[in-house]
Amino acid sequence: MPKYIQQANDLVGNLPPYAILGVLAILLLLIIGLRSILKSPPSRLIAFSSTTGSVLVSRKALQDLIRQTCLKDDWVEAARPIVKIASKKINTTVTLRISSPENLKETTERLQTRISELLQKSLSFDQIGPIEIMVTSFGKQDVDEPVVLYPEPDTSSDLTTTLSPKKPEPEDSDEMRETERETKA
Amino acid sequence: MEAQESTIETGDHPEGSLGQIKVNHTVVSTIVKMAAINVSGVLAVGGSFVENFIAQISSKESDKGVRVSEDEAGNYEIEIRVFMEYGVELAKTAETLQMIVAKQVTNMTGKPVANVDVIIEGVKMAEDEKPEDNDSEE
Repeated sequence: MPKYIQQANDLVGNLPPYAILGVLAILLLLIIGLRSILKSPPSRLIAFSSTTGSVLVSRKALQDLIRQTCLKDDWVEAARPIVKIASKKINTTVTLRISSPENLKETTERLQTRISELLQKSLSFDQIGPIEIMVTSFGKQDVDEPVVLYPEPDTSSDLTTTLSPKKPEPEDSDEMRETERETKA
Repeated sequence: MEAQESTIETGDHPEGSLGQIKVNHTVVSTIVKMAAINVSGVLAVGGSFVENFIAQISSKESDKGVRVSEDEAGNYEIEIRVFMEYGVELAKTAETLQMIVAKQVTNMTGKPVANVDVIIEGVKMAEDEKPEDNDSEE
């Protein structure tokens, strides 16, 4: 056993420093990769459970569903939904780029209603949390002044519409561009 | 280590037993996949990219998106991950999927199915490229 340790020691001793650094970097990358693979499974929501088994919906599926619903609207150019599952309740935030500021209120309210209906209809969710819609830009130009719109008080649950002039964060921008490309394709 | 095959009951032969019939779980998962993709509203069977990658490197490519195990009574417990078509009622389609998969597996193997857990991994437009599903290539 000490013989192998000695051999290993000699091998490491003969290696140039950049090779050792390279090996360490590769090890670090492997650890990061393994951690991302072995990390806890993506959050899912139980749509219903019966004697025949349960039906679970992943967060990604919900995001896909909401994104497709938004993109079906003629006024929406790009959509980026974020669904958070907390204590068996979903909180939805949709960042939108719409083609024109005309009919803004109608468009956002229509989307809120559609998303809410879709979630209830497709998944039989009893606990649909707030659906927040945030418009970040119009067409290819950003908004100069912030406008915050609130839905009618008698509309379902905690629906919030926000019009924000801020640009999406860089990573968001990439996703929005991807979404736009998919839409055009 | 989980058993990868199960013995199914056969009818009594007048001259005694002719031997056991064993069905590998891979066979069951193939039955599940074939039954699933024939359900209206189901676009593809498959897990996430990472799960499919792990399935590939662990030489369980055919199990991609389907997990088969058995409970203490020997009944099948099936977990299936699917991508569904945009516009369908997810809950209703998933329920249909559960029933069809259970029926098909029971018909073909003769063993009862304890439960079928459906995990909806994504929703796609029908004309989209089918995600992570290589059934046609297999």
